[in-house]
Amino acid sequence: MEILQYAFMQRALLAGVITGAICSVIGVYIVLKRLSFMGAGISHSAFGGVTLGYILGVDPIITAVLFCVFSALGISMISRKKIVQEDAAIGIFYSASMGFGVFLIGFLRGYNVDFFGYLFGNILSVTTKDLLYMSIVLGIVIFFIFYYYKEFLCLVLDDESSAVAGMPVVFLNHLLIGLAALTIVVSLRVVGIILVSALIVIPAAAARYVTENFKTLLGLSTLIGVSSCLIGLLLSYFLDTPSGATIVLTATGIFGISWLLGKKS
Amino acid sequence: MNTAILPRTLIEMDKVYFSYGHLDVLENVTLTVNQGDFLALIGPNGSGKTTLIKIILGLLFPQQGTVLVFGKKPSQLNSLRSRIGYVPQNNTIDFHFPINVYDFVMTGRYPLIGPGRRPGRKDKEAAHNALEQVNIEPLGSMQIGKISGGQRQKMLIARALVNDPSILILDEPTTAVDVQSSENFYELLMKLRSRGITILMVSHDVGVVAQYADRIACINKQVIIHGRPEEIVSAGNLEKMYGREAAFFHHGVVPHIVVSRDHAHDAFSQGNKQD
Ligand SMILES: Nc1ncnc2c1ncn2[C@@H]1O[C@H](COP(=O)(O)OP(=O)(O)O)[C@@H](O)[C@H]1O
Ligand SMILES: [Mg+2]
Repeated sequence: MEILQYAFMQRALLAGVITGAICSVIGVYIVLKRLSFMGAGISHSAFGGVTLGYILGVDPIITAVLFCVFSALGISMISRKKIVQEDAAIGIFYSASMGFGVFLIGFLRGYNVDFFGYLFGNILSVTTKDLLYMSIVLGIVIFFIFYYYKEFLCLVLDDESSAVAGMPVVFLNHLLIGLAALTIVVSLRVVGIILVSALIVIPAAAARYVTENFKTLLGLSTLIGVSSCLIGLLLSYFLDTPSGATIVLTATGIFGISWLLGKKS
Repeated sequence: MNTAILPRTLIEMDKVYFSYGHLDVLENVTLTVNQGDFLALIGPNGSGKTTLIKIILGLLFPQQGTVLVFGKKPSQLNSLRSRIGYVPQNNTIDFHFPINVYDFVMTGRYPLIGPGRRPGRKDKEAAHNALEQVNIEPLGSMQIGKISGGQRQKMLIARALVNDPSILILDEPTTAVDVQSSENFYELLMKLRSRGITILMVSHDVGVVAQYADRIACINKQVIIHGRPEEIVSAGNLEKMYGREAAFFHHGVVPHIVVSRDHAHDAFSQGNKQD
């Protein structure tokens, strides 16, 4: 195909495959553990990190990771200690971080920062360095998903009974949320802060309609995530539409098909 | 089953207080469970039964008082954890979860297998055995939501049995189970008990549980009374606990009480510290 000749398009396709895969794998756990809102909360807190990075002159990916991990762990600690309910904790953290980001934008006048790209994704602007970050996170996620396969399954299936039986569920929970935070940050380039939680939730939710087997669910969710990114990317190229939005709409379309298939059988 | 290294008193709670923030749930609770006991914990909704169980399991920590399980603090049980079989309230499980009955039971082995390893021959045997013990082996490949309420109950028990525990702790196991399955369920419990498994069971159907348990503890913040079924049911204590128009009384008095076993009697005289 002709479009494969462009280097930016090659990077974009590779980025699509990687983000599609990590988001949809982590998404299986997020969906089964009913942490979808948590995912949205974590991604929104990236905004404060991104703007702070520009102000401080450091790579915004780094500050975004710090913000996401910090708010992810903060949310689970505050709600574990029962200071406020979890949904309220998520609301507080992400609106504070968004607010902080918007506040800082005021000081960035005159800079040429693509905030729109961070909010909604701009896959065509993916750099080689972004790809490197994505590959590292892909490696980390794959390692932990395999190494702690049984443990994560116990965590999402029945954390309480697993704790009774001696599983380190608090550690596993923090690890899962930490992995989600990393995944979200490196995926921002592709789908953006607003849309990344859709790419996490939709493939797993769609795959659930058509399988009753956990391993198949993991595989199928990944397949849906990757193909949504690839199909969405190609559509956005040919239709000249925003990449992040097209990817998420493609995933939603697949969700609809999967729902219909699941209803039939 | 190897019970040799365990002390005679498996669970000991002494003057335990617990509150969620400002809500006092348990006050001055004293309770013991000895090896071989079948102790039923009864009490109205919201009386703190689940809370008490979670304290024993080390999921919650009391503000005051001491709790010993197998002679140790619940947080320091380490490998002794596998000697506890826990059957949670069944509304804590998402039965739509994409997993089949056999794999569900196998997850009970996972904490012992360790990360990065797959279940071995012994684990597979244990899972099959557990399914066999509760008579649902043929259902192994069914998704966990596609079986009946009574079968789900058995599956939860099979998971709790998969490590060959010394004590079974069950939280309202007969909720959402029809009468026939509930009878099967008690037969199963008695079978396990005859094999030497100690049982601590939370229940709200006082009438039925009194036929099988050899000791009953009634709880409503405090353990109000702690004794053999005939003593509990006859003394009007239930009225004290549930209030006068409790639905319980519409079922009438317990029709029949199983003769309590010998050891139950001395267990009772030990554990009968009413505050
Ligand atoms: N996590 C919690 N946070 C705050 N209050 C709780 C929590 N869990 C239970 N409660 C309250 O504590 C009381 C005892 O609950 P529980 O132990 O579940 O009672 P039971 O199992 O006897 O129905 C109830 O009033 C309940 O509302
Ligand atoms: Mg309860």
